[in-house]
Formats: sequence, structure tokens, C-alpha cells
Amino acid sequence: MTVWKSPLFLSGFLIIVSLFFGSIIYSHFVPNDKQPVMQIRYDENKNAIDGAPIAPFKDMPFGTDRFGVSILHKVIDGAKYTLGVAFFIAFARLFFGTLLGLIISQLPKFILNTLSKLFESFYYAPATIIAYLLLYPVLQIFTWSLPRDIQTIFAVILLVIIAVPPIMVTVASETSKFLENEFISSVKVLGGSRLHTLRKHVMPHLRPHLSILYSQQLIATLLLGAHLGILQVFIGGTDFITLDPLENNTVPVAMINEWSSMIGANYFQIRGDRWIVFAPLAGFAITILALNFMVEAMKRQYLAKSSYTRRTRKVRKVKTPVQVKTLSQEQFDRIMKTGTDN
Amino acid sequence: MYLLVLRRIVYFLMPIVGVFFIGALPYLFFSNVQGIEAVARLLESGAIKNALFLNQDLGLFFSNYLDNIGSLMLRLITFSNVEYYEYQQIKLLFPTILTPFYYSVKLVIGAFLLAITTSLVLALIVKILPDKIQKAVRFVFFSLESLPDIFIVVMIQYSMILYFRNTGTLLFPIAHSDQNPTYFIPILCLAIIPTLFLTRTLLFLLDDEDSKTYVEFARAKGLRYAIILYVHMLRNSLFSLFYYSKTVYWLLISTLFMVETVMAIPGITDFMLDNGPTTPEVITVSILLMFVPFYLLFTVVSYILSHKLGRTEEEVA
Repeated sequence: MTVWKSPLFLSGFLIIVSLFFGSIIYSHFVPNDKQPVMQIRYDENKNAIDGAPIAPFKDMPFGTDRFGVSILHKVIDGAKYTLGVAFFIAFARLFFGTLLGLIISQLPKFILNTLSKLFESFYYAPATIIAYLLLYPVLQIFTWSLPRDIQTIFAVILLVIIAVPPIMVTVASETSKFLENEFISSVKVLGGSRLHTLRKHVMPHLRPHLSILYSQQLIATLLLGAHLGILQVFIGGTDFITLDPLENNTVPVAMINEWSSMIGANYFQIRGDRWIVFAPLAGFAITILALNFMVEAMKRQYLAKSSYTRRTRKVRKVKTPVQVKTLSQEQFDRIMKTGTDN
Repeated sequence: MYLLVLRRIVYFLMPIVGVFFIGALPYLFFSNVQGIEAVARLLESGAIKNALFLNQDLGLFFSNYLDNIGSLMLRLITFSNVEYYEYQQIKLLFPTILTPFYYSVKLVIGAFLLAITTSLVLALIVKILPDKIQKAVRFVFFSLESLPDIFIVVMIQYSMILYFRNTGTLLFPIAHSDQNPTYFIPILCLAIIPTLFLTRTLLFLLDDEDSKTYVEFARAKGLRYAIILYVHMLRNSLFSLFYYSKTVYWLLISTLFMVETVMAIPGITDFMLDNGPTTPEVITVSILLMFVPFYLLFTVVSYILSHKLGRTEEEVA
């Protein structure tokens, strides 16, 4: 577990952990019914000088949204939903992907080849569009014919299923490549069953790869969520608020302060009240940056033999030229005669 | 021999079949896709405001799913046109889809070329920097690459707005309009992440190249490092760079849809998102359009390269 000593990994890990647990602790002390609200700002003489949305750094850090709720509160409160959903989805993706991958690696080889070719199309079809095609009807069209919890469960299951095939193929090909090692045949000769081989030999080899894969899936899930948010598909569920009853001006609003839905619901405000979009966007950027730091540190640690380690250039530079001995005439003569220095 | 050719062809066709499996997914999960289509069309035309009456079951409907894949395949193989619904009328997909398709292809190819040239220049510059600065620059590149694409797109758009506000001149149009189609900003947005990725990959490849004996030999002969870098190492690593083109394509495609949504560009992904809910077949056809040409190109080029360089695909992958 030397990866814990890498500053790159540690800093990323600390950021993620403090965001997630900080958010849980924060919303324990400041629940949503006690959230800071400021609809109208007054000066000393009680004259109204500003109305919601209020710009950042004027009484409210990070400003407020259109309903006067502090953005800082929304972002901190939302971290636990965004991260929690991503943790869960990435875990489920990896769990089913690994299980299926291990099963496939035990089947005849042509099945793996066929499947990996078949699922190559996942590389070319953007996951967002597939997810949108399937989630849009559920979360936007027949929102009334299904209860809310089923909608959310369906969304989560779908986001899991979408990524299982690529993970499955990756794990299966990694496993079957590992099973070609020579010592595996010794394992078989000594009477190790398939299950034994998988448990005692494949899993320890696979574990570092899986931890890298997990962090990558976390990033993919967060990005997918953000993209769906831009398309007005909110995983946490959607409500519609009518701003102007006469003109039928309704806006979709997320039911929870989840970051991607905060971006999506407010995107049209970027030209005016940009802080409403920028704050959750910054949250995404920081989270994904921290996760990428962790991935990079793990890659350097576990996949040390790949091109990720750059030792080559240094070696070339450090190499000192061979010391040239200056010989006296006497020494030179002796070498010429006897062939040795002394 | 025939068996080998047959197997090659089957393997080649597999990903294309996979696209059909993806595109027909709504039929797998929803019991009443026609109902969804009808309601989505009504919602689009503004005839209804909500879908209270639609009765829908979720589940797995395999026979529906396979039927739909079969019928769509049959229609495409016999070159019969697919119909789709837009603005309260049924239209034919085929001449209509080509306009957004060409627009997107222009953006993707433009971004790809921009990314390749920029990353070549950047990698060569970084490679001859002193070691300490190089380390810092590499870290900056890595951090920038880690930022989500949506963040980069929004920031570029916003900085253009900011510049416009402060100076009153619009450098480049940031949103699309028919009179004034925008190319530069979307291509820039699309190219940034692939550029960073390619630069980093190229640097890795060049580092690998560094340890090979021919570099030492050339240096021993007295060639300057810069010359070896520009001529020999670059040429050798460019071949390997090709094997990352699939990842680059994937990066481009996943950002393409963001750029098209945010900047209101009528490209292929925009077309898919607009008409996908009302006609699921549109998704399949669009993915095929985007996918088949590039897939053909990758397969042919990688076949030629592996033939020429004498290494197999498994070795590099």
C-alpha cells in the first residue's frame, strides 16, 4: 500500500473525502429548512438596494440563486448527493463488470473475441446520447405514470448497465492474458481448481487494475451526470416551477441540490448571473481533478513498467563520462611491456 | 483460407452490429415505444403539456427488441429510407441528415488536424526544455487535461463574452446562426482536450524512444540532440501515435455533443438529441454515419501499418 505515500494520491484523496464527509456533517448542522436565504438586500437605512440573485461577495459568499438561497449552501449540500451517487454507480459497474468478466474469461476464447468486437461499438457511441435516449422518456415524458422512486432506481440501474460491457471486456481480456502465464499451468498440475486460481492468483493481480478502473469509472460517472444535467435530465428527479403564470414560463428545477442538475437548470443564466453556474462547475472541476490525481498516482505505482515512468531521460543525462587516467611515461612503458597497470 | 477471410469479415462487421443493439435499446426497456413516440411528438408540437395518460411498463422485452433490430437492419441493407418526425410532419431521413452530418464532420476533422499540429509543436518544444521546467510544464498539461470538458467549453465561451463586454468587438461568433455559421470557437473547444492528450502521449513515446540504442549511437556520432529529436525520434513515434487515434476520436465525439448543445450548432449530435425521443431509429442511423467511415479508416490504416511494421495488433493494444 505504498500508493498512500504519494503526495499526488494523498492530496486527491483528501479533497474527495473532505468534500463528501464535510457535506454530510454540514447538512447535519444546517439542514435544508434552515438554509441561508436572502431575497432582498438592504443598506444601513433599510433601503432595498439589491434583489435575488445577489452577486457573490456581497453579504453572501458565492451569491444566491433566483430564489435567494445561498449558492455556497447549495454546493456544499449537493456534494454528498453527487459524490454518493457516483461512488455507488461506479462500484456497481465495477462489481458486475468484474463478475461477468471473470466468468467470460473461463469460457472458450472465441466468445471473448466476439464480445469484445461487438462491444467495441460502445467506444464510438457516446454514452451520454444512449443514456439520454433511455432516461429522457422516463424522467421527462411519463413522469406521472411511474412512482418517483422507481424512476430514480431505473436511472441508476441504467447508468450502471451502460458501462458494464466495456468493463467486462477489459477485465476478461486482462484475466485471460494473465492466465497464459506459465506458472498457471503449474497451478493446474498441482490440483488448483478454477475457483482457486481465480481467488488466489487472478484477484491479487487484478486488484490494482480494479482500483484504477474504479477511479476512472467515478470520473466517467460524474461527467455523464454533468452532461445529462446540461440536457435537462436530472437524476435526482425534476420539478417544474412556474415563474410567470400568465406567460406559461415554467423552468425545470432539480429536487435536490445535485451539482449536475444545478448546472443544467441554470445554464441559460450564464450570460447574466454566471455564479449560479460557475460554483457547481468549479465543484465538478475540483472533484475530477482530484480523482485524476489519484488515478495518475496509482498508475505510476502499479503500472510501473509502462511508459508512465520517465527514468530514461534522466539516466542519459546523469551518465558521467569514463574517467581518463593520465599516465606518466613510466606507467605507459610498463603497460606497453606487461599489459597491466601494476 | 476462406475460413480466415470469413472470420475477418465477421469480426469486422461485429462492431457495426453492436451499434444496432445500442440504438434499439428503448425497445428493450419500454413496453410501449410507439406511445412514447406519439407523446413526444405531441409534446414537441405543443398540443399537450404533460403526459398524464400514458401508461407505460418498464421491464425487459427481448422479442420486441430483436424484432426491431431485425427490421431496422433489413431496411438499411435494402437501402430503403427511414422516416422520422419533425415539426408535425413525417420526413425522410436521408437527404436531411446529411447537412448536420457534414457540419459535424467538418468540426471533427478540423479539430483533429488542429490537435495533431499543435501537439506536435508543443511536444517538441517541451522535450528540449531544461529538466526542471519540463517537469512543471508536464504537470500543468496533466492538470489541464484532467479538467472536465464541460468546464473548458463553458470557460472559453464565457471568456469570449467577457472580451466582448470589455472591448465591444466580438472576436468570433460564440453561437451559431444560419447567416453566420461558427467554426473557429467550436473547433478550438473540441481540440483542447485531444491536444493535451496527444501531447502527453507523444511525450511518453518520445521518452520511450530516448532509451533506444539508435539515439545513443546517433549522439555518439556527434549529431545534435535536437536533430535526432526532430528527425528520427519523431518519425519513429508518429507510427505508434496512430494507435491512440481511437481514444482521440472518442474524446472528440464525447465533447462534440457538449459543444453542439452549448453553442446551438445544428450538427449531428444535436439532430440526434432533437429527434431521438420521437424516432429512436434516428440514433442508430446517426451513430452508424459517424462511426462507419472512421471505423473503416482505422481498420484499414492499422492493417497497413501492422503489415508494414510487422507487429500484431495485440502487441500494441
